Amino acid sequence: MKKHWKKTSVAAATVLTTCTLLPTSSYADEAEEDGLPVVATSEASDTSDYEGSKIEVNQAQRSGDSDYVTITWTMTITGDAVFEAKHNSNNLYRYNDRSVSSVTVTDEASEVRYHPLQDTDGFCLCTGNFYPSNSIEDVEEGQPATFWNSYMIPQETEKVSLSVPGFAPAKDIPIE
Amino acid sequence: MTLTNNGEEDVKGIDILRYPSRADGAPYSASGVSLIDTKNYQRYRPLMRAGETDCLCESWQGDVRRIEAGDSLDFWVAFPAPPEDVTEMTVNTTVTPDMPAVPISEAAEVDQEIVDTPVDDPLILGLRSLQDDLGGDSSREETGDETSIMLSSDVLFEVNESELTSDADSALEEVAEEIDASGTESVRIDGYTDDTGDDSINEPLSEDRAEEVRERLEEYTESSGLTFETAGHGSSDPVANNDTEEGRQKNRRVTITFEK
Repeated sequence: MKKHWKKTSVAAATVLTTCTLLPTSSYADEAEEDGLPVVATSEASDTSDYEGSKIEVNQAQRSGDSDYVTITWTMTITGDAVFEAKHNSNNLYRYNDRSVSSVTVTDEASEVRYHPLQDTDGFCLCTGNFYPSNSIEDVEEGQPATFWNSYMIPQETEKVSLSVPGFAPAKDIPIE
Repeated sequence: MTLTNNGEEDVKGIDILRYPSRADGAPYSASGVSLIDTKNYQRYRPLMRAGETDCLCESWQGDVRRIEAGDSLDFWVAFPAPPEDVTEMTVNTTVTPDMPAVPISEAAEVDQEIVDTPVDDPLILGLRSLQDDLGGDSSREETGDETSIMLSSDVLFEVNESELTSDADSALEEVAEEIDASGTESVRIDGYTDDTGDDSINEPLSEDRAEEVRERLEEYTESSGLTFETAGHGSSDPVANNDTEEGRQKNRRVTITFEK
């Protein structure tokens, strides 16, 4: 049970490759910049402090044949505004966290809004209950940051939109 | 698992996978990794060594200060075994999006030292999803085994009254259909208010409202042998934040709960 150190190539990584986000052909151009695909985009609403900034949705992935869906998205800030992730907890329901639990998903067809899953300790299943040393907690110009949230979305739902406070909804996100 | 630093800068390895210290997360270990049973909506935390604050997982007691660019770290974490019919689980960590549907396999060889280590009772947490019907005024809470439909008291009743309005009927008919379809044998009906006003008024009001909803649901449901249980809770157990009007509106509710 001792620790093993080794130099590896990316191909040698084991479990983490499972979540590697592979660019899809239709979005390959946009993906080249940082290696993540982009399946939907939204801009900051005109009235928000983040005007000129954007959200790119990288992936909405369903776990097997379940309702469990994880959505990964990247925020790029343009201008002076700072997005403080830990001050973006859900302001409607009660979560025990400093995470991005305010980020919701809407199924436009059935008119249902989904809040991120929480466990019985009130922790959101999303980025930011845990801030290890290298986490980006404040998103600023020149330093895009990627976040994720998990939801319970019925299997018949194939497309959703994602709402981040201050930004227009990112629409028509296909669930893989 | 293997954690690889694919970035161009070194990262501090010491707490990268740690459960948060404010929740008693053991340092110097992967205490923040969990497994999600997406079938039964449960989150499995790592097994804890009996009577200790450390998980049954690789401990790197301060010697993993940094993970250099290009380096990787192999480690293991032990979890309670899920039921036999759960054949895959989703891996959740502090630093990655979830890794979906990882198959569970039989180990080629058993590490007896891990298997024989005494552990505390497993930490298996339930998951819940909160959902709002944007076309109406209801919300719902879904867990692995229960559905709770939260109907807004603003729709069901006039202010401070416990007689159902005419608008309540269609909402309660839909709920009754769902109860029948679920095959459940028992239904729990709970009344709640927001935190404005006096609990000496709110508590009996919430109880009377729950009772009123029970009478109507008994009439509308068709399943035989259904049992109903009612309770009024006043302003306790708020589901939403009482600091905003939207939140207070969510808290003024009658909740109908039944097994899936």
